[in-house]
Amino acid sequence: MLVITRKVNQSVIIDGNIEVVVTEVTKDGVRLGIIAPREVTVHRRELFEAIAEANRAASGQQQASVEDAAALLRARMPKVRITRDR
Amino acid sequence: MAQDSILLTFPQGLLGFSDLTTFHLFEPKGGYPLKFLQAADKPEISFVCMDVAAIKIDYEVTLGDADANLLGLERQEDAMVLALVVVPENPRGMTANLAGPLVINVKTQVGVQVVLDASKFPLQYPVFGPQDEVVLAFPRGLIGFPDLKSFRLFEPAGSYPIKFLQAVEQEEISFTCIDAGAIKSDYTFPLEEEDAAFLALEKPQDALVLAMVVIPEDPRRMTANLAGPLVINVHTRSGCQVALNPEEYPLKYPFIQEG
Repeated sequence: MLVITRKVNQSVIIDGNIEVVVTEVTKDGVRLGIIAPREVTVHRRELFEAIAEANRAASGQQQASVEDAAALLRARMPKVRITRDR
Repeated sequence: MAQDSILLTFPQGLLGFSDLTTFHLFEPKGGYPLKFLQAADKPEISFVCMDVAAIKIDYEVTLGDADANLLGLERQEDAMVLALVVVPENPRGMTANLAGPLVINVKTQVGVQVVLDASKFPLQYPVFGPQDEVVLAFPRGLIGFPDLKSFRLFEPAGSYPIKFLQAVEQEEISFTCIDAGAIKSDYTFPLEEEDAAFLALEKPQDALVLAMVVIPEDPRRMTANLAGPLVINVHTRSGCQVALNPEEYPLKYPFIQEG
């Protein structure tokens, strides 16, 4: 891991076009500003990991259990409407 | 395990088959949405039918007095509506008769074939929609899967309403997901300006929001990830995964409500 010391308002440039700036240092933490092109995503690590984990879980489904689950859902979905001809 | 079948009585028979008044309805496992209606007295006569609810249209059946009295339906939930299906040589050309649905009272196990206006309801409605292969572009990939930038969206009838998002570059990777609106009608979240611009989303109606679904061993405990929705622009077919605060949006929303 590359460790660099920055003071407030100083920054680092990653890969030539991503900039991370230290905007504020308080007792509650360090505020970082990030300037990056649109295709680059930035997430808090714990959020990233939680969602990546949820994605992984959604990618490991067995076909049979999906069909059982789908049948369960359909049983609860609104059915075809029957109306009276008065 | 023997297939479950229920015995149904059609006091008036079916159109053109007024003498067939008793049937076994089979629902082979994994065969959704097709079922078989076999005449009890003449087992060589069997009709293929399907749950009309599997055809994703707004279908409404109006019952006249005679049919309503025959069925004695007390509640909407007691009704099952099936459409007879014609299966040609190429099964992909299967059509359903939506002008003559079979309306069944599952409580009394009595059914009637209702005649609807054939000028308003198709006699030969294609069961398989056009083979529109929907390929979605995810320029940023998915969270944790940054290299998967292209997906096919599959909606096999047997899994409806669950959909599959299959990675084009790595076909063994497929995510189960569902239309978020189908599981939580009041699900809303703010979309960052940059994300909306990234997807060229001008109005909410242009967006399809999918939630990843996890199905554990007990399918009743399935959950949806409402903290990481996939937002897709239905016109441009490009999408991205949005990360929301898990303290406000559940990562594991149990959407099967008991009861």
